[in-house]
Amino acid sequence: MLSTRIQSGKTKMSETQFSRLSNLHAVNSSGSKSVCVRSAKSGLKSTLILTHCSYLDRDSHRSADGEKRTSQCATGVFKGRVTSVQAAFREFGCEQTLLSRPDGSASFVQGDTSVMAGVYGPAEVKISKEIYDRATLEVLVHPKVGLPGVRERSQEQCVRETCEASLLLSLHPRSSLTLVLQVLHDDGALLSCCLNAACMALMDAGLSMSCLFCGVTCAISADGEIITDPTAAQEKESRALMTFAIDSKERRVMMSSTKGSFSVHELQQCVAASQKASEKIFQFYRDSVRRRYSKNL
Amino acid sequence: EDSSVSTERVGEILLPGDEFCCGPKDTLPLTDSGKSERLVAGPGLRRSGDRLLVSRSGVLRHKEPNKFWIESQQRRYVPAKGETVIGIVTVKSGDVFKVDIGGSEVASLSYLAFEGATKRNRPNIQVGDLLLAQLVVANKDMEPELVCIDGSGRANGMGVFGTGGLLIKVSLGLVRRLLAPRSDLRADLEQLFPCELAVGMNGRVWVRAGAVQQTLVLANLLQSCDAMTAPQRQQLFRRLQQGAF
Repeated sequence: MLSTRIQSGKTKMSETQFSRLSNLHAVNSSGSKSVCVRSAKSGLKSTLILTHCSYLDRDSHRSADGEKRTSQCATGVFKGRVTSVQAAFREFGCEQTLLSRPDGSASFVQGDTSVMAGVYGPAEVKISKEIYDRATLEVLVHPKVGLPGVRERSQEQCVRETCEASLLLSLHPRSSLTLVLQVLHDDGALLSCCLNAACMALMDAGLSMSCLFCGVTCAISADGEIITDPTAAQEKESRALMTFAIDSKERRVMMSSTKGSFSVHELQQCVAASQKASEKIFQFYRDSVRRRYSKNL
Repeated sequence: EDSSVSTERVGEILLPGDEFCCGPKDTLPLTDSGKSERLVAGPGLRRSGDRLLVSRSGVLRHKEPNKFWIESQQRRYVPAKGETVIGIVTVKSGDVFKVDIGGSEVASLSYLAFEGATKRNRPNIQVGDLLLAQLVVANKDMEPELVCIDGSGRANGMGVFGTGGLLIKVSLGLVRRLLAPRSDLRADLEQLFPCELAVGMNGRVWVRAGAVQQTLVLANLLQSCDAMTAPQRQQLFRRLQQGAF
């Protein structure tokens, strides 16, 4: 199954828990001792399952829906401490402006995972989708084979909310932006590869953005090891899988998509690992844009 | 670490999210009587207090005394007031023409906005015609509006194109390079063979040369210029002069 979402006990995350969670990223990144987020009820280790929250959202209408559940039986499973963090990446590469028809395009390769992205816009918008004060962003994810399904819809939503948070959409009201992501091959960390390809394509199209973003996928293996940028085989063996979108300005978490069960401590460690790994991707972005513009300096 | 002096960063390649400081003292000499002139943030930059935030990737450019902008490669045109563009007439409705200029909306063009046009003497324009026009209204909240006359009512090169010629689409960066004063790209093109070029800021270039073959050669050259460095281009042009023509 796609995700082990727990249906019962659905509660909205309270404001305080939310701010605590965003505080903790700052604490982690500054290198001081990690702060454990305790659940309001039990004060014990708790399972925190977040589904597609955007932390950087400024608009109130996009409230972050979080699901939280304290699980008694599961605590035993999480006793194993995280032993090591591999903040290593598979080889990654990128090519910009490789398609002639779209306004911006990029392909991003992480190991054997490969995604191609095309951006069209700001273009004319359908009346039904028109928003009077900002551009309408549409994200389409096409799988390698077959038709897009529920899995692709969820990926589309993750990518769209991240892009909406970083793009300055109010500069182009009543127009449409279309981002098409074509999966060429999936060998793990697909969502993060989609995010990276999307960011490169948006940059290539010359759209105004407040900051850049990148995607990092972390897998927690059965023995508690955190693997960044896992392969499909590592993903399959993992007990939990999480993807974060990190912004380039303050290294904050813009979006998270998680699957499986893990402790709060592990979540913090994964966030910290992703923030560390994001540095490498942002440096890569800079180098590839530099290479692109070196021709007509 | 990003807060170094702005003028030092001119020519650097910046990415969205970068920011730099531009205090009045590094853009104006201290001897100047005016305290501090307001800084002008051009395309790709946003002001935030005395800092400039980058919102587009590209090369930082500076023009004395206080203008900064980001030069980037784009394909999609966003209309800007005063720019000359090449449009395609799509609809003829009553007293306005709807013209496709490659932006997110079609632009409107009044039939009176031509040289010598009156209510009795309408310009002869058909759907599908190409025209060179200037944007008089262009902002994000309004429909763009074109005219084919300048301030004194003269056509001044604008209006419907004659027969022949070929319309091609290039990147906005190449268009700006073609139109720049003392453009080396234009100088290289002039050495090839006599030709006529009409360049719209919306990335459309209309080419016409003596023969159809020459027109096609020029069109192909222009489209491939985008991805070439200056030495590569000059080498290609030299080969062309020595070769078939």
